[in-house]
Amino acid sequence: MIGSWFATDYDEPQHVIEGLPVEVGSGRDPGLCIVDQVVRGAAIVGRVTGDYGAVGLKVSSPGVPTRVSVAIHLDETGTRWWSDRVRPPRLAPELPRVVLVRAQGELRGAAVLARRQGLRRAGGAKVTVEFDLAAAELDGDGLLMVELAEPPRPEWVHGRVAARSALGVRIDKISVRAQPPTTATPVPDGFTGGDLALLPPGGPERFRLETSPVTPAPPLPRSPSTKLTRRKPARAGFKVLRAARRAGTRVIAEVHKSRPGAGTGVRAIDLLTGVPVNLELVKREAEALELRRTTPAEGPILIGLDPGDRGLSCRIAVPDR
Amino acid sequence: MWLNANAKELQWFLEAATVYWEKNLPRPADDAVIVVEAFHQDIRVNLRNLAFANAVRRLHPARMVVLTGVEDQWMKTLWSGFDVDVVRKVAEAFAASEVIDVWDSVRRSGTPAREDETIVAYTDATYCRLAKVPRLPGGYRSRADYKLRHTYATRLADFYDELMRRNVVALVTSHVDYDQWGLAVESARRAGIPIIHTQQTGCLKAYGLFPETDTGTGTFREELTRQIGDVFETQVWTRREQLRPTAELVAWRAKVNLGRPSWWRGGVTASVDLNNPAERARLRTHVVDRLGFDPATPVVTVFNHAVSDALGTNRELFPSLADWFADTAAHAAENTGAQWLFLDHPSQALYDATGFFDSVAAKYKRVKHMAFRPSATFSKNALWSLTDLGVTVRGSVSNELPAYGIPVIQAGWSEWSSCGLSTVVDDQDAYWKTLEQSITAIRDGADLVTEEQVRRARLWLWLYRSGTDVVTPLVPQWEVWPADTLLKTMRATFRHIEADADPLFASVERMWTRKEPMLTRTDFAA
Repeated sequence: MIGSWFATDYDEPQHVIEGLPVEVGSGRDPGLCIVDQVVRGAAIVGRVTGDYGAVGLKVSSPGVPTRVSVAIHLDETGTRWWSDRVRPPRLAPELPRVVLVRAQGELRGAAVLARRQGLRRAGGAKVTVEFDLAAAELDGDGLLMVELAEPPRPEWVHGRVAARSALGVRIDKISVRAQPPTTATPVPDGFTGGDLALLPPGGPERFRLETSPVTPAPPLPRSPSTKLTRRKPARAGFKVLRAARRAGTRVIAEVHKSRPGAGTGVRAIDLLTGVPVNLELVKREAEALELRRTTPAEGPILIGLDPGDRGLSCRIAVPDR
Repeated sequence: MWLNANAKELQWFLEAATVYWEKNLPRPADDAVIVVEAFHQDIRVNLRNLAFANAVRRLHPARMVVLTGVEDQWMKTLWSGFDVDVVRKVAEAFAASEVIDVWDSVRRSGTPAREDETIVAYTDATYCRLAKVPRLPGGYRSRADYKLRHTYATRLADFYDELMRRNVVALVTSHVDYDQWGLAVESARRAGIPIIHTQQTGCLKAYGLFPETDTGTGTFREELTRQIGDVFETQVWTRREQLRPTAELVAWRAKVNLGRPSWWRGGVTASVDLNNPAERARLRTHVVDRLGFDPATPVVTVFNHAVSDALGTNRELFPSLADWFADTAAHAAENTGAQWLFLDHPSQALYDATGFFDSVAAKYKRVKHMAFRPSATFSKNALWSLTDLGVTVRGSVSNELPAYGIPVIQAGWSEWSSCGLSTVVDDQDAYWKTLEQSITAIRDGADLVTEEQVRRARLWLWLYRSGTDVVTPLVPQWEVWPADTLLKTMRATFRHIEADADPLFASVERMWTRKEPMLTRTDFAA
């Protein structure tokens, strides 16, 4: 069988993480045994270097159902990695990332990562994706594989989601604990920072999509490629220009706040199957849409405003909460 | 030569080298010469040739003739710069008595193109390489650039034939393909002159073809493949038990990317972490999904070669590398019993300007069981978890995959193809049949790689990276770079290390006197 000759006499005995809870927050953790297109970090698990990135943790089989949480993070270094490899047009604004979180070969969740913009409140986007594993799924070799992957891309997300979404994204921490008695899938709280939202698998049928104005993202800086632009004075100049542009967008966004128009609707897609999901508009409010899902969906649902508006941020709220 | 070095550092290096070789070479007593080529722009390539030649000169006192020069098309396609004067200075520091600008005399010659089979073959291969095309374009015979190459090749052949009429001890060359190198090798073989072929990796690696062992029935590389196979069978495989610990160590080092087994891969995507079938199966479930494949069906990975690289220099089943790739893709389209991943060569941009890989990929865009990807989009972990059968003509995967138990079919010969690591097929019919049979066997759950093949592949890893890599301070490891660091290291050698019993001299003497096909770190016959 292929694989039986992978080991050599000089391989170190493998470190297996014993007992729950498991908390791995460093690429140097001996339990982190496999990396696939992920560069290991010191204070984080690692950073994805390709369109897909996966890490494997050697965990002794706990024998009970577990809940896994994966903290992913899009920071400034990540966007710089991305722009250096993708080389987007100089004036194309930064777009949100949509990544799938897969484990044990199956889709378990997804995340929308849109960095906070603004003058002083700018920062990275952090999302923790949680999912449950049955006892049998962490059995046998006890290898927990977590992957960040490309989502399916229907026509309407073109120009609204960054290409090669997983590239440069950090996996900050992976933890595994015994499954709490409540099996309710947590609905992510808070605004996503963009005109996209995610409904986790098994989410409510009826929900509100609230919107709030947000500063649209300016274009990403690109690492200078010519001899002249690589020099210090030029780079300092670029930095000042970027700060000015950032301030400009912020002021414009403050003065001219985006609001959903009277005709604003939504588009949605099941990220597992790539099939469109029908969402019926139940009620329209000034800054929210009440929606009802009319077709079944198996995986997480990516919802986007139609037409898109980079000046709006979305949040899913369940009415009876 | 193109040398991005500090002028002072270069000067000190030249002075140190001059003094060293002045005192370490015997004076020639007759008109014997050793011919050394210096056509490559990288000083590391030329230093290997010069060091080997000087080691031979200690055994057989001779003057050194260095061949150099640069031609426009070579300059345009491959070199970033070429300074014949630097070659001259370095060659003189290594005690050369004559430095000939070959391209200059070729340009000045008035000889017209000649229809000669060998000359035309080298013209074709060089034309493809320099134009970066996988096959000769339609109507190429009437194209001005082809005619010029043909004329140049004719003049080169005449020049080398003339040169080899002298009392030549040996030809030391870094390459054996294309017009400027290959035609010299052809002339030397015709004249019965030993040919030393240095390698551009490790410390000092070199192969040799001696007139006494040259059967004259195949190309230089074909002869070499056979002879390497013999040495492997009679001197390496017979000692497998004794060599096992070191072979295992080299196998482990290759796995964690020490020694850069796949030189084009660096960093995290080059190291393999998988240790057993269970881990492989788990990662495989993730990787197949990226390609839209099914984990339960066999995956055949076809590794495309750099399409214009040294065409026709070793035995191949197809008229060209491009034909092999396109025909294999066409075969794959019909064969739904397996899923086919076609990977492009990582350095293809340097070898193909026609978008050959993309054109084949476009043809099969809608075929679900086929996928085309650039090589670097998969980590080695992902590739190993995915590949049930590797297919190549002469790629290094035909050594690497069997060393870890993944079967490989070779549609041509390579350095190690007669060492029994992979399945080397003889003709196209056998190739298609072997592909079919292998896929069926994998579906039936059979193991295609025997323990012997794995052991042989690991021994070849040892032989390639260790057994035939001579460690001498006179030739720093390939990775000792940039230029200033290299020059400084070599200056320290020339100034501070005594030459007595240097491994370079001892190992070259062994190879030279016994007419062995490869330079070895230790005495295999002992």
